[in-house]
Amino acid sequence: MLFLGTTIDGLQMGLCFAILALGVYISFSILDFPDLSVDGTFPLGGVVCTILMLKAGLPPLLAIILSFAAGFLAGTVTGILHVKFKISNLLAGIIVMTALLSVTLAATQLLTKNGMTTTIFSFRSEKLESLFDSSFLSTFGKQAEDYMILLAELIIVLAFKLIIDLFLKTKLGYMLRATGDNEKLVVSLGRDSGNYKILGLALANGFVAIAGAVYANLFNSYDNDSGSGKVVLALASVIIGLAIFGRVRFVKDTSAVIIGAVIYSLCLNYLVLIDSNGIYLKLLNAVLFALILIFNEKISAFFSGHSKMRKGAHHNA
Amino acid sequence: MIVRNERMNFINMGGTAEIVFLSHTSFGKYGTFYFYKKGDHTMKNLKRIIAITLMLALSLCILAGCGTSKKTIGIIQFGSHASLNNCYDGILQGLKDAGVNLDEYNVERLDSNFDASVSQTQANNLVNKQAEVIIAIATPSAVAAANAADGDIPVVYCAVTDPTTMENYENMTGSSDIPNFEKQLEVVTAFMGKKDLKIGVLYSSEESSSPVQVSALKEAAKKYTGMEICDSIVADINTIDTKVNELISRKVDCFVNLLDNTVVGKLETNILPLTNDAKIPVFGSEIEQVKVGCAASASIEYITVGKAAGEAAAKILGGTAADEIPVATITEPNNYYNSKVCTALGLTVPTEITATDVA
Repeated sequence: MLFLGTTIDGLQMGLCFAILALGVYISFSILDFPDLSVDGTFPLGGVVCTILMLKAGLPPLLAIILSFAAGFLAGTVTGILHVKFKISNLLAGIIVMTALLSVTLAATQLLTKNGMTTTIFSFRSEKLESLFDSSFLSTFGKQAEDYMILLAELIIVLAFKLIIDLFLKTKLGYMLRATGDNEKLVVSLGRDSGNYKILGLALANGFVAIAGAVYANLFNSYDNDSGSGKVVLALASVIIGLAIFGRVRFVKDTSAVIIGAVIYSLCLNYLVLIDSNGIYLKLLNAVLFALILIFNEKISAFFSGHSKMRKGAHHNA
Repeated sequence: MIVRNERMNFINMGGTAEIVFLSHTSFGKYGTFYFYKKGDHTMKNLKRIIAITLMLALSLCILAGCGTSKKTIGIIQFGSHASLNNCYDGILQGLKDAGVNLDEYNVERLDSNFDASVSQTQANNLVNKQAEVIIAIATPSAVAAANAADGDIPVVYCAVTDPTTMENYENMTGSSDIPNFEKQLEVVTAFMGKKDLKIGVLYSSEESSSPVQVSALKEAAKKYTGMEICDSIVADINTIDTKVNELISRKVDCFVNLLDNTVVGKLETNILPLTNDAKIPVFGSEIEQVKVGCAASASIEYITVGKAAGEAAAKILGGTAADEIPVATITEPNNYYNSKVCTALGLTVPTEITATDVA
């Protein structure tokens, strides 16, 4: 029961972080841009979704989708700082993340009754119904509610995955991938690679904001600190997903990244079983991430069944 | 898949194309290739993946399954901190005093290290273990526990300053640590010798409970004609000196502390040196602050707050529904003062207030 419960919690969180991983996949994997602003964009999505639900009375699903716009804006700022003002990619991300700390804190003023800021806001205190709280999900009874939540999350994740896959097949998507892999190609085609970088960052952060909104709905509360550590989590999910499934033929990169997020989230949840006191949780988290990075090559070779490939080596069939 | 040589660069086509390899003799010295054929190993991969997940699952089952058969009392503490530790001690004492034999239960103390998402995972963990009752110390842990339990398991919250955050949850009760500002102002006016005071209040924007405390303080101050509360928000704790000086320059008669961990943490190092120089007394919210150098306090004691939560938990273990137990607030604080500080600042100890000297 404990194990099953922990697994279900891990899966729920994993599917939420899968959207986060999809966003970071666009910025990190496709555009080759390590975007540190994720720590700021994640709670931004949460607070925008909560404000829309509270103040504008929008249904949760609509609020989640509209929080994409908030992330899109944040990503555009990062992109402009990097492309137009020639700030390096890490610094641009850090600048936006720091700025967003204030923006999200200020935005919480709209959540409280007395107009003061708050660091945590519980949905129930204002009788807000989150996406996963609705009566529709408990039609099969309380026991099955967890599974219904998983199903709902799965549908959302697959929908976004489909959108991203379709987008990457379009001309715009092709240009995006070209910008990340080979900027000279884009320039030789007469296009401005900077604009594609900005677009890519905007899209990536948009999905991160959606992930933040889903997270707030999942936990029925908005927490200002929810962004901390999300970069590590997202990067770990992307790397582990691509390491395991990158070479497998029938698994697309986007699916690989989703599965990576689920696996990493499950691991984190199982770690709580070992260290329930939580003191060493972050250390274990870091060690797990480091091990994934160190054995990246070995893991991918293991799962694709080939021995380690070297660049530039000749290979006879 | 990437096929690349020194003369030409092809971009990554995204994974579904299969490039047939050509014998290297055709290209000779013009370049080096690296490529691989996909496809044959999918079944092998799948078997490896399944094998590994099964092994992992099995080992974790064994690890996790070695639990006790005793019922669990789960206590989630948001972080390790003098007041919150006192809460924990109070909870245990409250449980014992109400007749609960702690040996019959598996009392689990979980520390969230000031991280709300860790709180959430720990709360889920306790729910999965089907704990008898979850006691959560501090608001973020309480919110996490409330969401995890969702009415299935009774939750007792401890030291949640604003109980209205926990209103619409089922199967919940707890104790609030909001200071009794009326008593605090009585102590302040008694020690200062007058009622129309200008009171400076510092609080951090990172503390979610501070705004509700300021409102309560202002509400209590309305009873005194001529009393004015000048509040100043410290956004960045490094600017606290500037904020203190700003309030001093606004000619406040004294400072009153809220239950704000961030500001109180800087009491000895930043606030008191400046206020002592300006001969302005600071009235603390808790006994520890008075010991450190505040003039006096109508102190809230976290052990009492903890005891109230422990007693509520004991009633729940005895069968009472959580919703029937009213939320406990500390109505009778204990007054403390520091005689050395009072002498240094020229304050006379009032006779109408009973207070204990902690100097």
